[in-house]
Amino acid sequence: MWFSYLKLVFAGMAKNKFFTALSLFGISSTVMIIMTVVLLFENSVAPRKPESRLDEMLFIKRVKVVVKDQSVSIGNVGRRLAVEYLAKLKTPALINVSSTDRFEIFYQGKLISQQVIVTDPNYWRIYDFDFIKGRSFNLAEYNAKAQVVVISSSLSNYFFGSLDVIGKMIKLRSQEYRIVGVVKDPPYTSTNCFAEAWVPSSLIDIPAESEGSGSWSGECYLTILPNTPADKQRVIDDVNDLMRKLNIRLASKKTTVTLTGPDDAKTVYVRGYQSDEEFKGVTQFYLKWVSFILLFLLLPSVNLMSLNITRIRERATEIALRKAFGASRGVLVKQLLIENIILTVIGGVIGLTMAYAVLRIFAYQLFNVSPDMGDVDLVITVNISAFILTLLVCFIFGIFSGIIPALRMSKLNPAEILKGGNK
Amino acid sequence: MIELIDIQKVYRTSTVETVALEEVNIDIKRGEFVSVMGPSGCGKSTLLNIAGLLDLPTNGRVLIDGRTTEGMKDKELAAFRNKMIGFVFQSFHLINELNVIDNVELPMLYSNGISAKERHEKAIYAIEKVGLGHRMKHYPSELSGGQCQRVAIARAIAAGTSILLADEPTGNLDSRMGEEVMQILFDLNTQGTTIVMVTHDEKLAKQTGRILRFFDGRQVFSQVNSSLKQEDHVV
Ligand SMILES: Nc1ncnc2c1ncn2[C@@H]1O[C@H](COP(=O)(O)OP(=O)(O)OP(=O)(O)O)[C@@H](O)[C@H]1O
Ligand SMILES: [Mg+2]
Repeated sequence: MWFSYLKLVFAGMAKNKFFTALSLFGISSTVMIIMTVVLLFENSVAPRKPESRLDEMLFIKRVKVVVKDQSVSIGNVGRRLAVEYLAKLKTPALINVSSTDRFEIFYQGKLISQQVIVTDPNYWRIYDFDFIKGRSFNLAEYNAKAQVVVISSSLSNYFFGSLDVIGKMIKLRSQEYRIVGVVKDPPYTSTNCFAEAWVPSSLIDIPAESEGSGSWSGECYLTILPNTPADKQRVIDDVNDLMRKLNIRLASKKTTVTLTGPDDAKTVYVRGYQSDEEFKGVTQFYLKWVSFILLFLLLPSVNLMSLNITRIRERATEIALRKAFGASRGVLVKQLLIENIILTVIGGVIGLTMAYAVLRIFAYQLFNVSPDMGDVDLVITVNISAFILTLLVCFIFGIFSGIIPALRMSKLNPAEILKGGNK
Repeated sequence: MIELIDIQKVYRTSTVETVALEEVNIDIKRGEFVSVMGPSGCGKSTLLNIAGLLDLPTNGRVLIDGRTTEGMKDKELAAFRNKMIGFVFQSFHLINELNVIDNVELPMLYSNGISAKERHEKAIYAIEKVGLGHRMKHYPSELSGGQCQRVAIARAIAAGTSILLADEPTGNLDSRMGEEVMQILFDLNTQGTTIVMVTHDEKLAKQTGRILRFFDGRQVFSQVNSSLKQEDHVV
């Protein structure tokens, strides 16, 4: 039954090109806007190399330091707090302290300013980079404050072309560094890994503890990989415990240090759009979004509904025939709804494709990255959940806009419509 | 096969009330070919719609194949129409976007327990029966009026329905095409289909088994052609 029915649906769509185009336009542009936002979110939190284990990770990125009656400062985590306190937690987990900065990189007359991550050896254990050549820097080099660097393949190409680069020296901020490894470029969408070079953080001194916010807020962020997913809560508890003790000690200096987190990747992303005061959890954020989407769908739904209603008269004979030959009201409503949903799903798939295109075209603006190396492929994927969400949106859309016209059509009196002479 | 008992049909709008049928009692036997005649507006189409369960009478009962249809829900009525009754209309009412075979298959889309293959075969059989085996893939716009009406007949009977209700089936056709269509109806009747046909054509009506004459919503005359005997039904 469905095949023949679909044939009629498509024949009808082909016949009413104007109607079809108009409705498809309404649906697909709506879906495009919704799905652009969804894809942006999904691609920002998608666990893909080198963030394969993103879902297991916890992050501490922000700290708020209040010195009573004096100052309030919000920033990244201070190096002392990160290295001397948080990274020394006894919790079963890998803890990495990193900071990101722009460095002038120089080799034989070529100078370029690029994003560099200053980090420790745990970084290479938490993230699974693909090494094209060489290796990461190890603990011995790290402890010995060796001036070594891992670079991206695009930076390698930029400076050396196809030459072998391992062991070559390049200059970062006028210091000589020896290249020990070349990694495949991380995607631009990877907020934690996108960089062109990685150097050991042991080269940076840890500031002494001082009055005020100085030693607590700074430029670092922590990535924590619990040994097992079940250890996640333990990590959070341990961090909270540590901070409580620290704050007791700092009470005499009227200083309170409050961390944001440890958070999982999704929470970090959502927090990026909200202040800590606004933040009420990821679920809340999703709910806000869902209600926004529903509201947003209302307009094109009403539009499609009115288009459908104007077509009732045009379709009366066909509907009456179906009734006369044995379609019950229920079956008819179901068919008309499915027909409408087919239309919205087609529109939805177009919309999703358009959203994908928008993301590719405006990726650098949307993901807020500036790729000057140029030759790196941007990884944007449409995963199953985005696809399912699109279908769901179209489904709701189809029901919204189809139900009233369908009910009306099913109530047409076939006797009245089919009698009489020339039509 | 079709029993109408004390049928009354009143159309009510906010301003007027039209009595379309009044005290109509008709019993049509299995295998009969009955013509319904009468001036315009006398209630012929209304009668056909009620007999075909497309419309409900204001009062009275309709029995099809000995089963009462009173109190049936929309779903049951639809299933009943699907199984038992085929309609042919004056203006064919084919779906222009579908070709001949798809048009004929349409009612069977709503039949339970019939496979696509079976449906297809039945449709082909019906189309061949009306002599259009060579036009299966044509669209209605590519057919003559007579051919369209033959497709409509094929559609009405394809599922194996035993009752055919035809409202002026030749009304839009010239006499030659009208005769073609009539010939098919006669053939179907010979093979056992019960047919009720509304017509304004006295000559055609005379060829059928019985003529019911209506005037102003009442049946005034029943004429059995085969025995050439006329009986007045004074009601
Ligand atoms: N839906 C309706 N609402 C109100 N009145 C109606 C409706 N349908 C039919 N009527 C009235 O009922 C009466 C019978 O109509 P019906 O269509 O059955 O006549 P008919 O005998 O088929 O006429 P014709 O030969 O012109 O087709 C007419 O007076 C008509 O105006
Ligand atoms: Mg009529």
